[in-house]
Amino acid sequence: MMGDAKDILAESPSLSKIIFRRFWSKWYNKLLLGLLSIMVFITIFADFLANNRPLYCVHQGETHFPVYLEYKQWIFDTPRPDAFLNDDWKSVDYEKAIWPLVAYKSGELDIDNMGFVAPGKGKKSSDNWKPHLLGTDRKGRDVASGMIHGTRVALLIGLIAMFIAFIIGVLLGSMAGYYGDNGIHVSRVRVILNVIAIPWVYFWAYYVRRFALADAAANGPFFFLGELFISLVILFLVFGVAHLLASIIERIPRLGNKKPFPLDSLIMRGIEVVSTMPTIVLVLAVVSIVSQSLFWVMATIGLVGWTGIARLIRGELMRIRELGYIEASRALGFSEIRIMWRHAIPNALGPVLIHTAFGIAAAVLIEAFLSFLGIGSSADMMTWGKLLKQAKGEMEAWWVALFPGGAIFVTVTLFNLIGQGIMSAMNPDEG
Amino acid sequence: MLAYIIRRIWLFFPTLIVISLAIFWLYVNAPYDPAEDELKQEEGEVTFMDRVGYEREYDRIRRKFDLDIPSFYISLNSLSETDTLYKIRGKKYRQTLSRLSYRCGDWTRVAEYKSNLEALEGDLYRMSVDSLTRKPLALLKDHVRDLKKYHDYENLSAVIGKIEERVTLDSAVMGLTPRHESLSTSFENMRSTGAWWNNYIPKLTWNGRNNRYHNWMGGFIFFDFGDSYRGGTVNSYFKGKFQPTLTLSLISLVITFVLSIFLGVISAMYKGRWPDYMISGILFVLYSLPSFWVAIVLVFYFANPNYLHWFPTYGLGDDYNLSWWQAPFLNWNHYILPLICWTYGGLAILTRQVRRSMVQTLNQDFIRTAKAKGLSVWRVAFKHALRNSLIPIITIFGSALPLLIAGSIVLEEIFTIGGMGQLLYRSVAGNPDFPVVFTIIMLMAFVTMLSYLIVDLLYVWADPRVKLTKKQ
Repeated sequence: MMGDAKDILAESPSLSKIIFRRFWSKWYNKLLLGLLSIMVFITIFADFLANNRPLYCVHQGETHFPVYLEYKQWIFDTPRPDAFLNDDWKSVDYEKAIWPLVAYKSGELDIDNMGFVAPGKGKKSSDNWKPHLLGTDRKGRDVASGMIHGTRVALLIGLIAMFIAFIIGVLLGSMAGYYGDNGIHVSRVRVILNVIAIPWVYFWAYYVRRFALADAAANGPFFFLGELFISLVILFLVFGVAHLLASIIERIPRLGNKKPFPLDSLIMRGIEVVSTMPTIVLVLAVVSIVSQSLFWVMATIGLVGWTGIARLIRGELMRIRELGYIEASRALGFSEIRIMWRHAIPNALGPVLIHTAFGIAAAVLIEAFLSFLGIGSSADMMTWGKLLKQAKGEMEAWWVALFPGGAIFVTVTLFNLIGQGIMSAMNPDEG
Repeated sequence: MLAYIIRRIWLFFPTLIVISLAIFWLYVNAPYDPAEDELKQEEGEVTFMDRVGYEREYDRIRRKFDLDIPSFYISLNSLSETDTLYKIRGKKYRQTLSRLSYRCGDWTRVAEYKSNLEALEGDLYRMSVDSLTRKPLALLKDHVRDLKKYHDYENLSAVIGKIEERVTLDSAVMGLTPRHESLSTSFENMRSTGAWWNNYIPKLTWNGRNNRYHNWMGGFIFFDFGDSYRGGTVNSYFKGKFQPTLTLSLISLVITFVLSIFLGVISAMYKGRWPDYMISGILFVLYSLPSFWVAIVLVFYFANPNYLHWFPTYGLGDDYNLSWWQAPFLNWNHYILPLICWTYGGLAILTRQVRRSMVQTLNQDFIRTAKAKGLSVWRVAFKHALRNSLIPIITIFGSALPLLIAGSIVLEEIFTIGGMGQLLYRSVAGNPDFPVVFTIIMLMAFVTMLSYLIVDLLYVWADPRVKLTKKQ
């Protein structure tokens, strides 16, 4: 008998496989994924595609791989060879050199070609000068290089922000949907003790350690992670003590009575509060408070953007938890966590993936929007929005308007179409 | 239903309080302090009276922006600290003292050191500057400034040693010896105290009602949002800014709704045929076009004397005598380009929703009945199906207005319209004008909450089956 069941399981593909097969069977979806992988490729290898130094060169009989050297220098803090100390790679005589596709770094100024030089034109300013494939902007920065490094910024913002949103949304939404208001039974004592623990956690894990955390953050990310780990240990210790105390007090007969804990209502209130925050305005405020860095843009978009995902997965799980197979797995004696992670959530992920794809598109738009306003990224980092900004009133320099505008359009459409594609793969009947 | 409505309205307030706390928390942590500039002037060679003037001005500015009172009703500190740190002049100095009290563990010792340091500083500025004292005084002032910056004992003791050297060797400033001695003693006292355990004992203080949060929120009730960092009240910045943004947003909301219902019904009726594909396709493309890009392209080609000068380049027309409802009609040519950019993004989302909900309704039995009665297809669509499909659309309404206002930030900058968006953008730029920024955020959150509330109530009105617990 068991053998039969296993055979059937082996033969019948899982739902996600069916959906993926249906998605893949359309030629235009293949095209979309191809385009996405090109963008991912550009994101990963941006420094090899557009940089101010050769990929490979022979200089005074010595062979160098300058782009690779840059990484090495960044990670191991090794010094640069003497010949290139002043970072002026274009005026060096090379015996042999292979240059990247675009021979300009993001934000690098070509002072002789300031003020919107058209694609392919421009003045040769040094021995190894390369033409600007897509022209230059007002300050003489190469548009093609800006496009390549802008791809990296846009994709990173979209993916990381939505990754944060996805994690928070799935976690909170699935808890709200699966347990509902009556799924968890906790004694009042336990709830009260945990609430009391919160200010103590704030005090011991954050407030007392604020100087240690700040100093570690100034010293580098590894120190900060170390200190953060200690803070987390303290957090778990305090809550652990609260639970321990609760377990002891619960032995007193009347105090141990368990009541349903309104987890769903609580999370829904939280969702309401967060979804009231105006995302763009909040990012503007946060960036002006903390610092002009992409990290805070991503973090803010992620920390505010999870509500849609949480709502969706909550609704799906409310439906799924009533289905027969969940009851069956309960009857088989699986733990609640296992049922949730292995059986309930995977079946609710479809709509969430769609929403995430649309969310990435929205995050790319927000980033373009912010850098158009000149907010959110450091001055030497080129983004599509920053290039586009210069097109205001300078439409004769069509290359500054067309390429970044087109790139934003293509990226946003790409993710929207992927979302659309997953949607129609999931419900093939609904057009 | 009445019970539901009352419960829903009652829930409004705790949510509002939580949101206001979250926004206020950001506000308190905003780094720019308008009074700090006053203290920077002390860097130069200043007389005692100058200094008193700067400090008075510093205190005045702090008082004006409620920075000299506690932030909240309660404050949580450790036993080693003072709970009135906000009263100390200078952000850097506050941080230094805070660190020192953390290291020492006993605020009374730090306070003693602090008062000795300030006594020495006062004497330095009070001494008359002549050819003999100029150089040593300048050096000593630098040392004192360093003392206010450093918080590690090694650096501090080195600087105190330098002061000692100066005071004992230079006859011109020898009079400061007692001051230096008491400073040195109090420093050693502080250094020898290592009551680190006090850091781990929390201390809760009740600050009373005179706190920043209470005053800020209390002001909102009377539409008094306090003072701006750039001079004048926050209210004076808002004057005339609501109107253009709200007018544009509301007009574009109406256009979006009318158009999207029309287009959505058509594509639902022709589902799977060319009108459907055409509408969906065009709207899909429009949705992915960033509105600011469309805006600069439109301005360049349709409001440019070199190309087509059909529309004015900026503003909403400067005839201020027109009332808010007259302006859009009489200055219509100013409104067309902004309205296009304001509208098309939302149009795509809403049309999709209308279409989806119409398709679902059109598959239901009562529609078949209506068709069987012999009613015309369009009559069935608009009279019977549309009404039932609109219920899910109501929810979108709630999030539309806040989105439009957020979109106005960049569009108003491009079209040079003096509205809320432009005000917000300009308040964030440079040294941010945080009172204005956070008032706008709070007002936007309030409007959003209010529109969610209205949407929920409308929902009950439209579909009485909805219950609070089942709310999605």
